[in-house]
Amino acid sequence: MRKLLKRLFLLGAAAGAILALRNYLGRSEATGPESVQVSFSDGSTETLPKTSAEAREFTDIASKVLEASGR
Amino acid sequence: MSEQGGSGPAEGLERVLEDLRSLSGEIDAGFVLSEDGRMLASTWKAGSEIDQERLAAMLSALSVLAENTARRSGKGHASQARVQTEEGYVLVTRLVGGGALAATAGPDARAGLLLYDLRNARAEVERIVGEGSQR
Repeated sequence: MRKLLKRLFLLGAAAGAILALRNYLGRSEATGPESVQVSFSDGSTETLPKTSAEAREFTDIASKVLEASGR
Repeated sequence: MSEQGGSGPAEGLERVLEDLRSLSGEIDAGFVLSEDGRMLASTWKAGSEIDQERLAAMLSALSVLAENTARRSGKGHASQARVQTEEGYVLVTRLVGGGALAATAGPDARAGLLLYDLRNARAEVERIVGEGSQR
C-alpha cells in the first residue's frame, strides 16, 4: 500500500511538472509584446499572426535595429 | 552614412528628423532611406559609418518585407509597418518613389501617435528627397 501511494505521488508530481512546463512555454509563446501591423496603400491594415514565420522575420530584424541603435 | 556636406538634402532631412524628435519626445531616432536602401539622413550619430550602413540595410529589409506582405495580400504597396518587440518599436513609412522614413521608440511609446507624426513629416521629407534627386 505504501509503495502504491509513493508511485501515485511520483506520477502526480511528474504530471504537475509537465503541465507547469506546458503552461510556461505556451504563455511565453503567446503573450509576448511582439506584434506586426502593416498598412497598405488602399487604407486597409493587416495584423500578422504572432506565431507566423512572416511576423518572426519582422520582429527579428526590428530587434536587431533596436539593439544596433542603442536601445 | 548620411550625405553630409553643406546645405544639401541631407541637412534638410536631418532638420526634419530633429523637428520630428522634438515634436514626439518618444522617438529615439529617425532615419530616411533612399529607394535603393542608402541612409540619406539619420539622427543616430553614435555609430560608425559601417554601423549606419548596417542599420540602413536592416531598415531596408523591413521595408521590403512590408512590400512582400502587400504583394502577398494583393494590396498594391505597403504604406507603413509597425513592429513591436520587447525592446521597443520600429516604425517604417513608405515614401513616394520607394524610399522610407523610419523611427525607433521605446516599449512604452504611443505607437499610433508616433505614426501620425511620421505621416505628417513624410510630405516634407518627400519634397526634400524629390528636390535632391532633381539636382
